[in-house]
Amino acid sequence: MLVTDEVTLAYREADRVVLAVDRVSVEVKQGEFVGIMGPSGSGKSSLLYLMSGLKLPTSGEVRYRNRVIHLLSERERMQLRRREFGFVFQQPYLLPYLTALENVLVAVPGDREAYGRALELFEQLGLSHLANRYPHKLSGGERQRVCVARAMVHQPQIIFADEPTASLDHINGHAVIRLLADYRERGAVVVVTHDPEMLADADRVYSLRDGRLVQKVHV
Amino acid sequence: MQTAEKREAIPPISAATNPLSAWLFFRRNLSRTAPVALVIVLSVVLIGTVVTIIRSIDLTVLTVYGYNRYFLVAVPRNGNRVDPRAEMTIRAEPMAKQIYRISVCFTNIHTIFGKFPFVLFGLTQEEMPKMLRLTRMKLVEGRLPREGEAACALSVGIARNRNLKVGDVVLAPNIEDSFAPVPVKLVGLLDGENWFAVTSKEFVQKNYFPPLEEIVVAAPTPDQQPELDRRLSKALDKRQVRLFTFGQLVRELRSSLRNLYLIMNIVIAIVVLVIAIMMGMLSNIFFMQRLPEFALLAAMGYTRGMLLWRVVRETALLVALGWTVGVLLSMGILWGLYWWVFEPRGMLLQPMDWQAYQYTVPVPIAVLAFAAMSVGPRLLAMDPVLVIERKV
Repeated sequence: MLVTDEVTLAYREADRVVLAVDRVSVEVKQGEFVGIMGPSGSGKSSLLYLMSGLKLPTSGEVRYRNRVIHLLSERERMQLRRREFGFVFQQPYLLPYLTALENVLVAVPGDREAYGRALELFEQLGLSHLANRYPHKLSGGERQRVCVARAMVHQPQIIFADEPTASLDHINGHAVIRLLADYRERGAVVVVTHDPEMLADADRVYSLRDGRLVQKVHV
Repeated sequence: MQTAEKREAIPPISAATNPLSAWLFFRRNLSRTAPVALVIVLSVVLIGTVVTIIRSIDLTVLTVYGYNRYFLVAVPRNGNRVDPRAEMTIRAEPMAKQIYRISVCFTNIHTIFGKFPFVLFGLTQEEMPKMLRLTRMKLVEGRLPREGEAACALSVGIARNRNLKVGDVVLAPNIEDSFAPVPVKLVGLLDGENWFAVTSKEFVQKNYFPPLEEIVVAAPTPDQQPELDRRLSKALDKRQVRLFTFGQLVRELRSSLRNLYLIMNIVIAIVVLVIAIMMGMLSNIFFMQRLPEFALLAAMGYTRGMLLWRVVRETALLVALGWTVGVLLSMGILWGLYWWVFEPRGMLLQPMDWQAYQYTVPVPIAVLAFAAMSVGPRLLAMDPVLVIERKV
């Protein structure tokens, strides 16, 4: 479904070239929950950005359903992200002037059918009573669950989650991971984290250090 | 009961399905959008009211001297009467349908830009009704002045302007700006589309020195008057007579107001520029505050074009609302000025002067352009990942 082939991401820092991701090859299959682990600065977020088309590789390629992402036009990449990918970021950012439900529908503006799906998601995620609340009246865990709903509402093929539990307590963190893991029934999930406990249920875990793949674990 | 409660908690589909609508953003961010809209409202009010008041100069001159549309006046250059050769030329003109020898005296009227001289046409008893028909005026109160009587009939507008009623003295030896050797009373009020005033020709000739006699020349219809004006201007020797025509009045008015309008246009341009730059800077600040929002949307797959279009739509709504409210508020202020200040004093103002409001149109256009120009490059240069890594 999604493959990175010897993918590298380099950037210049002062007079030296830093390899944030160094010739990494990973694979995400349909129905999989894939974890990417590593300490801070190991390049796991950069790899996620490369996989999701948010960054383009310096060398190597990322293929999604046999399409090389960096060969797509910007418009096509945007379309890919909007329609086929879903994102959950470390900080559960919601548009402050929209209610929880409206924040979810930001991913699918003008889609009346999505309204029903969003309500169903709220039901599944235990957020129904919060649909009309503004972000400042939600707890961190509730906000992140709304972000998960936002990533799922357009029924993407892959959800990319970058440290989705970093700002949450243990219980809320596990709840969010559970929701994401369940999504593999409909597509695939890629979760970046430094906490191995969160990947206990993963189908496959890649471990990175200094931008390099150091371990691949099939669970 | 439970179902009803649940239904209440869910936002209506119309609002929820378009969460990025400009109207929703405007409503939900009033603390940010209302002050910006207010600045646009105030600038539109400033420009709209000032231009309307300045344009009332045109309106005043063209209304006060509007009677000149219906005839031209030939004034002698070198004596008390129009040169006989010039008079022969006038009488020989086939388009000259009505010709009257008149004598005039003056009063003053008040305008927002000072006192204006106003002509009282000295006519004979037979000429008075004809001149009223010619200038589309009618007697609405009192009577017309009698032969040799120290009396006059004025337009309702002039009477209101001078705060006069029938029986009051209009001209008198002790009124500096409306002098007459003997007191001249108001005996009748006229109404019509122009301002007009008549008195007895015999009275003027007996009481004013030197007793000037001028000639009024009217074409068969008002439409033909400009042609008659042109023909006589060409045919008459300017050393013998001076001609007062409506076309000349308009030309002189435009010429004398040219500098005033130039200054007004410069001031408006400066106001528009300052407001636009200010709004552009504010848009920039607001954009920076909303950077995480735009970065998130960009990461989710919104193209920069979509995001820029969103900014343009939000700004367009803001300026459209500000402009509309500004125009309505200007109209309200101008109607208030008209009813409480201008109208009771017989001064002219047109609160619904659309040409004046056209001067306010550059405000929303410039604000929109500056906002798009200042936010656009930032949006194009934005790296959503950088913003997300720091903030989102």
